[in-house]
Amino acid sequence: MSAERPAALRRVPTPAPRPRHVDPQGKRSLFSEEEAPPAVGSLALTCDKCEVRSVVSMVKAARLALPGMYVPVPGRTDRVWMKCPACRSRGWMHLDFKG
Amino acid sequence: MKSRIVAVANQKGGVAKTTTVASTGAAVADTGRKVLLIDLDPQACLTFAMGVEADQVQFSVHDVLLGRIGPRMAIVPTAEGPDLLPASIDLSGAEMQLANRTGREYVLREALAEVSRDYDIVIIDCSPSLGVLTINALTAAQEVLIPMQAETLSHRGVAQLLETVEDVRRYTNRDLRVMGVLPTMFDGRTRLSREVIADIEQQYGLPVLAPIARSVRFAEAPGSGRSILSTARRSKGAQAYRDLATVMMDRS
Repeated sequence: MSAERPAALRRVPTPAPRPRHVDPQGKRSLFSEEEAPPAVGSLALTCDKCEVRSVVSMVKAARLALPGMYVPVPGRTDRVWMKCPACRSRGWMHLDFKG
Repeated sequence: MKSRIVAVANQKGGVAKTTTVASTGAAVADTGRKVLLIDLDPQACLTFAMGVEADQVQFSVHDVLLGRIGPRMAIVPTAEGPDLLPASIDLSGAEMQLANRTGREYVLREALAEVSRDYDIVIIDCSPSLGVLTINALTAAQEVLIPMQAETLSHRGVAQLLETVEDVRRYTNRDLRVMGVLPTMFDGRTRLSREVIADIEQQYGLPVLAPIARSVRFAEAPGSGRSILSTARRSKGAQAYRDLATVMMDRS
């Protein structure tokens, strides 16, 4: 991908999953709050690999989980084997469900 | 009805954030809508550009953020049409004052709730840095507009800002949307300009708005305390910002 970019832009970062390590005394310290919960009717997925938290609709979550056979239970936080909407690879995802 | 809130942000300096806020604000006000501009930069360039002397204002956004007064006490009218919540150099201390306060990200959002029914649109001019003030603007806004000079370092700044937008969505404002990238000081004759725009579209899939061409008219306008909409009404730059105002209001 980067080889196709113009010479002047090759060192400019491309969109990528955030690094695994988040320094609490770094940029994170700009925020005093914990992560916002997902909206009603949606799921928050946090990827074990890239650590990106994505909020998706139920329908999209179901598509990402296919061909798995998992039924999310309201009010529970679980780990599910599915495709990450951020890094697009399959892996364990933490689910935060809000009915 | 609550007003629409747009933050104009890019932590890279010199990309025409202030010019964009002043010109777009004036263009929207020209259509008869009620506009509030907020200067969230301690350099108070927007305040100066709108014809208000920063060292002579009785109250500023600094007093509002520290909870000393409500926003209505600090808002002043401008000859250009929009109302202005001015800044002063004291705003440079607000970062420190807010630094250890829980809920510091929501101070501006809460203050704006008091005036949200008074205006059709609120446009926030962010400082060229990534700190508590910029996080406040992104937390209060529904949309962020990213002015960008079409060159390599500005492109890199967009990447950094988009990471911050993701952080804001994650922690304080899930519904924040990116209105688009606005190429400013654009010179379509250079290959680099065209390459940067194409690369932004390809890498991020963001809407790239109609470019604002480089013009000395923009640099001349603040000296008279007016925007290009008044000082060079028929210029291409003025028309470009009228077009941007139309796009902005059509989306509301």
